[in-house]
Amino acid sequence: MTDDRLWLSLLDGAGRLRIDAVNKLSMANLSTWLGDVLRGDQVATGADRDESPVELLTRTYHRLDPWVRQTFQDILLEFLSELVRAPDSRWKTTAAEHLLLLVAAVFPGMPTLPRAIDLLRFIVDTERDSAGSAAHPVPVFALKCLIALGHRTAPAFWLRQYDRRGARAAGPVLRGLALWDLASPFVWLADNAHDRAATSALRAALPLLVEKFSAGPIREQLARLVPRLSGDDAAALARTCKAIGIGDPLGPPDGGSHLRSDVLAASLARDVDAAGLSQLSAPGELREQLEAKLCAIDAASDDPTYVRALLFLANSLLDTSATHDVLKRLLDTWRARKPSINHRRRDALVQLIEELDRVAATPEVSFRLQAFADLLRHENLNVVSEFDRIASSWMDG
Amino acid sequence: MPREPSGAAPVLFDASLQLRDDPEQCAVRIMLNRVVAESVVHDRMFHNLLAETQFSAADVEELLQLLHSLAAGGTPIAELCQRLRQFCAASAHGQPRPLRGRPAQLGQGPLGRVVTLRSFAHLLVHMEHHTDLEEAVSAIRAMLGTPPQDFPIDWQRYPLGRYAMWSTFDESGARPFHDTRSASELLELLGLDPHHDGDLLLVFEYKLPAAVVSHVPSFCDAYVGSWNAWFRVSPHEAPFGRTRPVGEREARGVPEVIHEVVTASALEAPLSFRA
Repeated sequence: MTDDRLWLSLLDGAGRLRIDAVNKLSMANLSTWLGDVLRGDQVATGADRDESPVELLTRTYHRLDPWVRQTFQDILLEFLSELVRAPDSRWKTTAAEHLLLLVAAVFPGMPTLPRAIDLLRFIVDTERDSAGSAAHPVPVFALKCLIALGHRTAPAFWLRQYDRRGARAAGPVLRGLALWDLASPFVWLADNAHDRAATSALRAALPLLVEKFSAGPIREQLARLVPRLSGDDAAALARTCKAIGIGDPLGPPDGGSHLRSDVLAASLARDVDAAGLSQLSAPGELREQLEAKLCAIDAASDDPTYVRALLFLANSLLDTSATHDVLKRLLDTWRARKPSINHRRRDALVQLIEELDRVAATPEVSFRLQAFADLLRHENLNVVSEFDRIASSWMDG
Repeated sequence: MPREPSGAAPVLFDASLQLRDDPEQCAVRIMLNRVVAESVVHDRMFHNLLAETQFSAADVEELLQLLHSLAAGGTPIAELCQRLRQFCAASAHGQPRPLRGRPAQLGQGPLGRVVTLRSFAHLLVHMEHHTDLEEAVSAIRAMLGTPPQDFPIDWQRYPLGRYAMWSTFDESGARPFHDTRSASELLELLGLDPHHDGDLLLVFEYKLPAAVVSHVPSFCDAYVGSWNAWFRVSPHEAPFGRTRPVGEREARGVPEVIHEVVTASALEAPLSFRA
């Protein structure tokens, strides 16, 4: 367990974690401390009452120095190895859940991702959980972790997991199949329409599926599935569809109001100005993708939406001065011309944002990217003027 | 936990300590002074301990015995804090101590609660309502601006808190947070960790179901889990607690109560967020 002095040295006067102190921990001390927090042996003083150990550690991880983040990842891989070797040792159910949630938050887009995937696959593939049989929760946690890490593998893997683990695995099975293609989860759902866990998993995942595949193809799949569902499940699904704005799957297409974009617009405008936002740093892969896209941009672009979007992305995701310089040049060019909206470029930008979203490091980044994509899809004058204002203040700053 | 009858003088820890014999009193005070020196959080915990008016005589007796036993062994601070959390969690007889403060007097308007988007998404994943954070965030986002009566049926079971719910209300009966605009303003007002500045904050407005009682937050509510630097105990017979805004601008504190977790079926207004 973490030494008393060491633990207290990590806290500031208000009892909050000091990132600079965590940065200075040796690997051994960092490992001990991480293990203690994950197992609940150390409660972070000064934290929010509702904050779980995973949230604390995720928030901490993203603020650490890059080389400490690497050490952090190495330690998590070692913990995963322990879980593989001796699942009933110090990684009891809750601690294992915390560990796997943290792995899901830390490894997307990292070079160490394949190693983490291998270990997770080992947890779900081996029959080591015979004592607890299929009810053992840790392999299901591992399946969820694989989903969070975007592990794309053939449908047979996920169908095997459902056969073996049943209802509790329905959520990750549906999502795993959807990582393969849109049809696979609906074929599985049609075969298991009697399983309330499967239909419940569909309702839970529906907003995300609509974001990934868009409403039209989802509605087509739902229209084929609904006749197979029980009355209750069909009604619950119809209600979910209405709530998320895609209308009754068996009814006429619903144009739907997108008033949420107005709510998002005002909040996003504040996002860009928020002092804390610039502290969000992008993982390497995300940064590389964006920089590659920037290099391909025509510097004479006169599309204001495009420029504003890039500014937003820069403010949200990047901290390199070189990229800021590119964006400033773009904005200068745009200001010197008569701006006009170019819908083709706007669509391209939505696509770019969706690509970036797939590798976004945190839910916050993902949330902002998706919200901005929404703004572009349902653009109105208020949004444009708001982003004009932000762009100007950014330039002046 | 037995309570003193209304109107009776509160049982204060410090007064009870003064009645102990000198060596015991001295040992406990030395140890508490050691705790106070650690940080502002520890110092405030100590002052809240002294000011708490919702302890029963049995609570104070158990606490004094606990502290005396720990003082004798030169207990490390971290262990002492852990034992204090255990004390707050339940009595020696297994009686839970959180959510046992006196009933609070609520205003006419709805209750309000603020959580980070990240926290709420984590909770929904932990409760197995969603597979991962991406799915949970997407589901939450899809509900922004949607009237609660139109929520999917599954949302009726979604909890709005993890252990117990800390909430506020507007004393004039207006909607909570109607005059606060930004996330940082809300964090400051509610005495929440300013390190969340930059996080998206979800705002819940809800009505308490008839069967759920709200309480004046007590020392045990505040120190059973993570210790918040900005909690303060309420004066004797105060109708509700009051937040200590970050930076201690006392005049801007708002009412604060605590109650059992309720679900999204209690929501009265669409989900909204502040950035």
